[in-house]
Amino acid sequence: MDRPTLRVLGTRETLLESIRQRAEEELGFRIEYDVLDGIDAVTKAVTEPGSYDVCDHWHPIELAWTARSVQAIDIERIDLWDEISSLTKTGMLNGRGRIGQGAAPVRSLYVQHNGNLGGTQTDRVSMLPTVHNVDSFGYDPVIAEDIGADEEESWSWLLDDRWHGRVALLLDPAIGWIDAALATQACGLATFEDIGNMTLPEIDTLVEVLKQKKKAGHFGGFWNTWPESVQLMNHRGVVLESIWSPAVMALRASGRKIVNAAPREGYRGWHSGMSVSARTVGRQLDLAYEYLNWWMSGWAGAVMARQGYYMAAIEPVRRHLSAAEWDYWYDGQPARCDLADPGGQIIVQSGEHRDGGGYWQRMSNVAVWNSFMDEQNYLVRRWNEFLRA
Amino acid sequence: MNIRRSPVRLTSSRKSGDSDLGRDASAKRAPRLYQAAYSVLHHHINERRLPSGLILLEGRIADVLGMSRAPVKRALAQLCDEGLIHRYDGRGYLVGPLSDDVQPQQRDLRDFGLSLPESLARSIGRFAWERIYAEVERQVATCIPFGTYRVVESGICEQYGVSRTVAREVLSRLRDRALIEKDRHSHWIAGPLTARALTEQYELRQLLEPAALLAAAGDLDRTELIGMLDRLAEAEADFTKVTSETIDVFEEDLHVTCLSKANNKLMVTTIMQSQLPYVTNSLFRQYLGVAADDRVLPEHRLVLEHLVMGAPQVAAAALVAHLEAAQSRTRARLKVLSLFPVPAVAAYIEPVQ
Repeated sequence: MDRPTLRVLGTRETLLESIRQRAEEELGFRIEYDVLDGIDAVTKAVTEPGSYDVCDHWHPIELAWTARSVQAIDIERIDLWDEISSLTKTGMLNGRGRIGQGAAPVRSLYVQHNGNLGGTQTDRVSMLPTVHNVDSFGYDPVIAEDIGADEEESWSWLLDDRWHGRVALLLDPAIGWIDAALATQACGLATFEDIGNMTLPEIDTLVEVLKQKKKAGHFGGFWNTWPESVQLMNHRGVVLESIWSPAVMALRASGRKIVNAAPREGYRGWHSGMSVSARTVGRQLDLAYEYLNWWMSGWAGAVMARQGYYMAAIEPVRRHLSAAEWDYWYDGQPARCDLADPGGQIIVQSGEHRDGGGYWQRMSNVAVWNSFMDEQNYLVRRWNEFLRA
Repeated sequence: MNIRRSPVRLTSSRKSGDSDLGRDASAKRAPRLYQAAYSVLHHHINERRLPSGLILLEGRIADVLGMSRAPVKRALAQLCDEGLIHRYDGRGYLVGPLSDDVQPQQRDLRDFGLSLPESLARSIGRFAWERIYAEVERQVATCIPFGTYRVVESGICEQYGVSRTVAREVLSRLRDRALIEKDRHSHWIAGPLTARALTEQYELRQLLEPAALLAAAGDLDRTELIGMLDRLAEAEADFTKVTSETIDVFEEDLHVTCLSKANNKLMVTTIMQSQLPYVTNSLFRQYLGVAADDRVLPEHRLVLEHLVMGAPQVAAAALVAHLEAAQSRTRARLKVLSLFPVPAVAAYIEPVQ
């Protein structure tokens, strides 16, 4: 009889071949990865629940839940549930920092008794919280000469004329939009009451600002996948752009010491999770839980750490990292030796600090989370209009 | 004001352009509408165009043929007497003679080409606007979640081969349903459908619908209410059989049939102008099916049960709770629509930047 197969849908950031192979070896069943780009993966998660068993993605959960494409996860069946940090359970690490605007995972984690998602703790969750991080923009140190000695890093730099024509933005409207809104507000061009849930007039204002900038030639490019953002920096003259951690690491691996900014306004946060398709039942459902539990057990989280990502259950990850890795990636200490990325390539030189500090410092400074806003449908249509301008 | 009362529906699978809608009908008088309905149904059954077991619902046929329910009801009764269709334990009739083997099938009648032939339309003197209204409304409703559009009067004339007068009649009725409005250049504009507009309409409905229900309560037919509850119970017992059309029926039962009994016609008309929730939910079901609608059934049942029990105040409170839950659901669904690209729409609907 054929070995059973678990189908996992997600994006390239977490569905690494090395992780798939290791999971197969340790779990004893076949695992198929369906790797798509951002919005394509969200759309498939929402519209094709019959095509996957587990969906591993950054926070499309609200949409998938609305469409009834995923089922509730029983906390009782998650072995290391108690190890998951308070970031998703209560919204804050160690009760400090700020929750941040927008779709903070705590706001839609628990399945409420009326079937909706909310923050009140119950025994069922919409997703198993896994990989997360804070994002901002990255810049080439060559621009240091343009920056004043006392000047703090700011989202306003994305729209700053000093780098006219050499700035790139992320295309995905659920993420790139928020970067653009943070930049516009930081420049003083507009004030938004809640960047995680903008109103119609605020959306119109932002589109007009962006269209003017685009027509003036401010943007040197737009990217959809992080390898494209690497290309823009390496070959298209871009010196400052929205950036994700794997791109920073890839650029470092190629010898370019890109700075991952810690903007004074705070970061844009995101939190991935694993959800189980509403169609997955019986033995397949058991496999899904086995896979979820395996992910929480530390090995995969250690791989994620080496590309700059954090895991919801931290202690199991620590057991799979060397002390030097832990100190650099999580604890914010200088690297005591050279450190490698998941592929074994050296990306951190001995003595370097992680930009923005340690885990608790960075994750406690989320200004706004990746969000699907109430007016998301309107926003997407207007965002497309900006891209066509 | 002559306003359509059925909620906006997108359940027709017919594409624009393949309509057999004809030229302006002459306004000859021909009062026997039921004969026209009888004739077209009889013809389709005899020619085996309508499959055995197909569910025939009065309201749906009336919509497709562009006439009121009364003549359709009479036509169906006659076909039943003749053994061409039969009653069953669900709502409506099934095509074919009574038999234990026949399985009820719920499909859109337009999939089988059911429409009023031009000659019959002319002979019964149906207004030309009525024959194209449902299709134009469907086209407009399909596009508004995706942006702002101009609905071009001359384009309607060209597409359906109707006069300017007819196109204007259709547009003015779309305006009565608050689906389009004129901009400062006197262009007819549709959309965008936003979360804010949805909220405004739900807030209005939460104020008016309980009042209308209380006003209507004394005039509601108990047997009709029990029939509505039976339909809900049947659907709740086996949700797998529920289709988008079934949900349309439930919406119409509560939000149109019941509320329309209120004496305050201005109130009823105002309620019927809030079509955006129907547009959003109908489009959501078109993309994602009915799985997320299971909570609609018990919410409706709670209202109807209290009406049957003679407790209209409690029914009105249950209606408010239903509308609040529906508002939250519908706003969440509008977000999901952000994932979908702009669908193809008729040539007379042009995007506005």
